[in-house]
Amino acid sequence: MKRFRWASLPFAVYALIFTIAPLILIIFYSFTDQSGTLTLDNYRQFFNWDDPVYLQVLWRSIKVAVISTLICLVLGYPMAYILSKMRPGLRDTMVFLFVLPMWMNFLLRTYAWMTLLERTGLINTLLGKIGIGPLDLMYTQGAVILGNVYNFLPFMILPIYNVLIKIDKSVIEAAQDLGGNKYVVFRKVIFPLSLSGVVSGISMTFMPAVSTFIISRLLGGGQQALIGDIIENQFKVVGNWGLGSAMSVVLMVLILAAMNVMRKYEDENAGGNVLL
Amino acid sequence: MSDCLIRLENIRKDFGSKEVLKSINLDVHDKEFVTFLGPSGCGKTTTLRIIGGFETPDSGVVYFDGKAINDVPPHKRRVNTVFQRYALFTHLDVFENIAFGLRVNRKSNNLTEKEIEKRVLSMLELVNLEGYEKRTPTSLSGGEQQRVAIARALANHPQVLLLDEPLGALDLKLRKEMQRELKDIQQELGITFIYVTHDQEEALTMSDTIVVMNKGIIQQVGTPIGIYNEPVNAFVADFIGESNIVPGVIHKDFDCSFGGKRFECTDQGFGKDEAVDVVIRPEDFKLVPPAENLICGTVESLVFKGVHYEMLVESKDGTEWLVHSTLPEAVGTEVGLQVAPFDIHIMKKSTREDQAPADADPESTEGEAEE
Repeated sequence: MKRFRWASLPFAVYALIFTIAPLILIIFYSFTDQSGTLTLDNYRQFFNWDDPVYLQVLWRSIKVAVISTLICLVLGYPMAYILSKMRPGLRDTMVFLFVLPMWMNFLLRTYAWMTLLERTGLINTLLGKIGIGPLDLMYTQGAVILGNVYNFLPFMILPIYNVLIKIDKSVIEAAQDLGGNKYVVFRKVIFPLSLSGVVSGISMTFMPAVSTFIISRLLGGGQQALIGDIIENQFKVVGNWGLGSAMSVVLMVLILAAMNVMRKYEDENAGGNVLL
Repeated sequence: MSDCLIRLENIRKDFGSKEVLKSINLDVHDKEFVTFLGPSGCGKTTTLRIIGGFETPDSGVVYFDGKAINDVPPHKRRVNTVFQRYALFTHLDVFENIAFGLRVNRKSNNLTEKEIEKRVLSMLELVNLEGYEKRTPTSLSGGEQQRVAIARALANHPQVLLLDEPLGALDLKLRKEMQRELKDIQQELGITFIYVTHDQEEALTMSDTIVVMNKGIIQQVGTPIGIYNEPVNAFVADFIGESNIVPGVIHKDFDCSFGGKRFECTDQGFGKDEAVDVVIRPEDFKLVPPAENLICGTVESLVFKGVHYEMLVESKDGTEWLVHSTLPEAVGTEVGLQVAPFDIHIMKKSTREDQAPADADPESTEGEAEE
């Protein structure tokens, strides 16, 4: 393998230019003011307890992301489990169907939800027919969570599914053989062995959910701005790169910390590898 | 029989269009060490899985202690299994692996934590793994993992232990050691072992009873000595050790001919001048100077095998005879092949059913059954 080490060079260069350099730039910007002098003002402004407007947005982002991730988990785990139990041919078709919406542009999918949720949209029209509504479905936290769940559910299902199908069938048979009924086998063997997939799934849904700005803007309107929205705002509207960068760094540290906690938990419990 | 513990009655099983078991009838007795022996695809693993409850027979009845158990799920059967690839729980340590069955059955066995601990430790002692409680399965060698798998299966005190080629992945030396230990464990615990293997030597070493299977049919059931010395057909003779199988004729009781010569033998009860198969083990030939009344030929090859030499002797009619001897003869030497009457084994010509070439690749079915 040593001989092929040069093959990783293109990626190293790529990572240097497009990942590491921007990262350093952002960290640098977060410690400078408009004129380029070093300062902690950006962070002071963000963590301003007297006027915690940014902290409130951060808190809302975390809340929305956690709720979205939990819903994804509750919907995704049983789905992944059912998929893994299907006979191989049907299974592949079903996985294909789950991935299919992802072929469509992310924005389009979210716009589609807008037309469904509008006061004149399909859902309200149908509700109107049975004498309910019209309801204000758009521009609510619920709409943002729905958008998150809809867009990120496959990222929860797939890693769990991948771990579940790799569990050795004879391990499950061994558990039955030793006296475990269906529930015991699931609780004591299948679920613990699938935890690495759960951890990956949580990571892969929580990360995009906490930093999204399109979903919240389209489905949440101005009222439901998330941290991603105000970061974008700082860069594109206000033009305060320093504050925007500081927010990005805070978000990054937060995600890293969350991932680390997850990984620790995972290592202690299963000793398996995380698909991060 | 009164001590018949497991009875298989007319068991049939198909996987798709492939007949895996055609009609299995077998009694397994209490405290017996039974081995299912046969090549890949013969149905031995499927038979074991039917006893374990992991496969349901298409027809036929499985009796356990006189009661039909076809509909009893695996977790309610009083048998435990040692799986081919160990199947240990990688998320639990060695102690918890062995304690698994005890904890799961806690309601019915009323064991306290102390008793569970005592049982687990005694199991570890039984398989010579004292001090391994806190290790994780992944940190163990193949042999150690297999010992844990055995301890785990025995912890529930099953009446019958099923072992599915448990030593297949181990190297020769370790395998021999484990064979002896398994036999010791079986005798110490006084329970029934049903053991699946394709290794005839393993079967001969450990078993009380060997069940030779091929193509979904039981070919012969007998003691190791019985099966080795009196194989009922060419398949069994060939599968149990190396042998020379040649066509011959039995003229009357104790009188047969093969290889163009007439011999005295010890078999009787065949028809007059009946065509038969004659089996002679390579180690039963004695190399002597050529003589009129012996099969004579030229040594074609000589290979040193450790304990003995292996020689191929080609007789005038072109038949090749496999001979094992501790004394070598140089290639090209003319020799006579001497064989004692009781070393000539006469068998009925195999019926088509047993011998017909496979209707499909034998590997394919067993593969399905074992996966």
